[in-house]
Amino acid sequence: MASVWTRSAARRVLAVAALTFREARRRWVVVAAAAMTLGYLALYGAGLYFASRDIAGGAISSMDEVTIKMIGAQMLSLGLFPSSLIVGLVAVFSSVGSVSGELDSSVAHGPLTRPIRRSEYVLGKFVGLAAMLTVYSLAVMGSVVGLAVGFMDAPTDNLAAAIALFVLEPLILCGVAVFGSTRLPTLANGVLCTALYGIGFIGGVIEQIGSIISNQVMLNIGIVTSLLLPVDAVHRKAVTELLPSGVLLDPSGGGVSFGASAVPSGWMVAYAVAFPLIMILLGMRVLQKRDL
Amino acid sequence: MIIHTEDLTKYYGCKLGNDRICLSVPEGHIFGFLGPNGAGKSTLVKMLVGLIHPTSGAGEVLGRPLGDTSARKRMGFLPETFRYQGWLTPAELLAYHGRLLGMEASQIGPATIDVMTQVGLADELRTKIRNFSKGMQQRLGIACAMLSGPELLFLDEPTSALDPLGRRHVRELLLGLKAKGTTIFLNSHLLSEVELVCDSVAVIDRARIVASGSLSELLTGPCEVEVFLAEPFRPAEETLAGVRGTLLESAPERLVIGLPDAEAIPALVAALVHEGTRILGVERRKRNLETLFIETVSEEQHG
Ligand SMILES: Nc1ncnc2c1ncn2[C@@H]1O[C@H](COP(=O)(O)OP(=O)(O)OP(=O)(O)O)[C@@H](O)[C@H]1O
Ligand SMILES: [Mg+2]
Repeated sequence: MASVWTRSAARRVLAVAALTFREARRRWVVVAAAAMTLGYLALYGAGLYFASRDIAGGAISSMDEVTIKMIGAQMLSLGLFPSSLIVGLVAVFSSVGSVSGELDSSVAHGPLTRPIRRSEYVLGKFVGLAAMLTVYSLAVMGSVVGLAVGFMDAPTDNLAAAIALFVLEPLILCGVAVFGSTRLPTLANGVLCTALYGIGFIGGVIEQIGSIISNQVMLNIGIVTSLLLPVDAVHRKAVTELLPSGVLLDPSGGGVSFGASAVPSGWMVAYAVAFPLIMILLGMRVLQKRDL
Repeated sequence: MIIHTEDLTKYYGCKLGNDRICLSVPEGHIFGFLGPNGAGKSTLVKMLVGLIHPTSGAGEVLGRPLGDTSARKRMGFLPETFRYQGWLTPAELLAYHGRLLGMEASQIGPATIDVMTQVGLADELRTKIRNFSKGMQQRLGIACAMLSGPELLFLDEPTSALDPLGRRHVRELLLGLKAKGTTIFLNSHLLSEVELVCDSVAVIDRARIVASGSLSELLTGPCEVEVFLAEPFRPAEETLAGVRGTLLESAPERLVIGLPDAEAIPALVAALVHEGTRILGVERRKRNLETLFIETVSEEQHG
């Protein structure tokens, strides 16, 4: 893989990325997801609106400043998990067929007999999808945070870091899905990636319970599943970055899965950043070796 | 030699796709690669363009080893399946391919119009490919393969979806490209077509090359002549022996004579006239690609 990174290689990667981006935008998964997301945001916004109106109108009696802030933070943290779940599913389903789909339909025979390395092709696919997912997740997570801050005056701590981590989540899933699609048929890859996402989530829950009851085995299970797919770890880290410490009502963040106990280490975050790149490198290798 | 392979072998699992293929294609030729369905034609082309990896053996295309991406700037490929992104228009598709080829943005537009005109699709530049008929998609595939003005074109059954006029059009296109110096590797089982355009051919059957050479070489050899006579006649033994001919059929006013090669025909006619018969017509029964194909392929099946 000692490929020389030349300008012409960059142009080819960008050509594939641009086409992939355009294609992703008009795929039904993305269109449907965008519609659902708008519905979800409307619902969330409506909830926040009514809550804020009652608080402002004094319907809930004698609430002090701290309590109001806590409710704001609570509402925000409640909104984050479903949002990241939607973004995650869109990431999986828009990427699972990225390479396999074109191979199955032999559409890829055209581009792959051009002067482009297969590794450049895989990278281009990832970059195009990643660009689409970045825009999408920025819009979703930005809206959720914006709504919570706007209506409830929810307190935020390290907003930039949190948003960056939220954007990282779909990129991790995209990396795995693109890697899988260099070898597996689209459907099998979709099942596998979704299952992996589920396992990562359960692992995260186990780790958090483990942290509350100080059970080392449970903590280790969480670490192992985070290594398999660090999405949930990144999500917990993002939530801790976003919400000021001590502002949540209970340390597990209002239901174990929504919050951020068992905060992942800096190493885990570094691993999570490297993770999509590792996946893409593996995908490049697999595609290089395979017959098309 | 623009293409050269040595013992190129491909196994799909334990199924043999190509068995020790040794081929050389000279520059500027139209090379016909013939064989029945499932013989291994597409397998070889896919190895030559780098879509699949050989199990063993080696090859060079345009002076570069197989799978090398830099040689691909100078070649074009029409896959047997010719499928393209249906949601693009031809203009967008060719722009994409142009970028992958490293063409300048300013070159791509004119090149697109040029190749689309050559395949007769100039009016469809902005129609979604999804709405193309199969034949139109194949023409688009040919245009796409020609986009950068390649030195070497691989066409895997380029006329499989075309109507008779379209076939003829492609034939003329190929001869035009050849006149400009393009080498063409043509996979086909349409023998009459191959016969009309190819300089040299190879026949593959069940993964193996069973015949190869220039078209004229392969089609020479023993020939048969049918002679039509004004009145019943039987030539003398000595007359035939003089031209090394053998009498294959003899109707009262018609003879079929086998000769070692076509060069002997004038001598045969002269000898017959000398014997005093009146000849109304002489027809050479042509050995064509079809006979060759059927002979070589069925020989294999029996032996
Ligand atoms: N991907 C594959 N996996 C397994 N076997 C394959 C694969 N591709 C081709 N084969 C086998 O290899 C042999 C040669 O196939 P190939 O596609 O090269 O034939 P072909 O000469 O192009 O036939 P056609 O005229 O039908 O296009 C066939 O017997 C086929 O079954
Ligand atoms: Mg074929």
